[in-house]
Amino acid sequence: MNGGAARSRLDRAAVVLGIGAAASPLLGIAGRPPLKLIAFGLSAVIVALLLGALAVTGGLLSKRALVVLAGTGFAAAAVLLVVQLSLGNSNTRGGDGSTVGVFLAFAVGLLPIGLAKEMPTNESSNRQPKGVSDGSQQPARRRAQGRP
Amino acid sequence: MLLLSHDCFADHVADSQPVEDLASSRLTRGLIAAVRVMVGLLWIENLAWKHPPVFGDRSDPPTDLYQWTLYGVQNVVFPPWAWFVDNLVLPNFVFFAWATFIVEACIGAFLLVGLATRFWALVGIAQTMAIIFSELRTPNEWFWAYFLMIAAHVVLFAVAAGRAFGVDGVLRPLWQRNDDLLARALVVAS
Repeated sequence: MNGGAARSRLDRAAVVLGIGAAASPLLGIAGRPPLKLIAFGLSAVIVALLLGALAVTGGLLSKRALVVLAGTGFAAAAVLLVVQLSLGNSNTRGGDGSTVGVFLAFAVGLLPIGLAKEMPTNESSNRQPKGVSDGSQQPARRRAQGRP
Repeated sequence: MLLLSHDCFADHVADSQPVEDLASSRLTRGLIAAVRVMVGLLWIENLAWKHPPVFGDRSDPPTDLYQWTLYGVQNVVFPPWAWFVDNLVLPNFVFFAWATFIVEACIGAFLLVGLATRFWALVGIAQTMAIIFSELRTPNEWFWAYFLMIAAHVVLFAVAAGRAFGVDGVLRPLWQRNDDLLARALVVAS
């Protein structure tokens, strides 16, 4: 679909976000705060697991459409949950505002990854940001200097 | 004495060792990402007690976000802010409550995944200031919590935290190679 190194970075990002989405119900396992950070009902857990798995699959297979689909699914789930919270006491996603926030997070993470245009293959000409960076393209000398 | 010139400072720096960059080891980047995720979760978790669509509007006794908005008038921190809340926010409470819900959901979501992190860190600082102006004198509130929130967002902005294991770090090279307006805005925002 696109160049090797660039593709692998985008695909890795999709895989990591997908795993994060699938693992996010762990934040709701505890019975109460402070360990219970997000409210997850059964249907919300299923949504997170299915869409997370879809993002992971899209990353592993380099199928951007699947990543976009997962991101769109999370956006739709967040909007649907807000509508349901606004209409009445019960909702089919089994969550609250915190669930909206976490679904929105995976939507805004997966959609730009899935929709990113192809990166030119010559990565050596990239301009480097100063200070803290992702580190994957730093010269070895700078990395050595940067160790605490 | 306080008006040391820039040239004087520059000469001093030139005579001494060059200024060292912030550490960018994997450990450092991992810790910065952890702080970013934690701050994102802070905002997201605090959406749980805000209940749309009315957010406790005109409830008696006051509940939900309406109760916390009233505190800004009952325990005045900054008189112009209290006037603003009393005359503009409370009469149009549901609108401002939805705005709060949406803004805080976006701060949490974007910081959690590290997209446009510097921009959303600034929004987080602005939102924290609004909370400070409303709640700082509320009984039983630990005021350092709000100052620590400001500090955390300043750090996220200063180190451009989304570049460490965030979406910014993955997409920034693409945005830098693109000349359209959105890409240039995202380079600045990240």
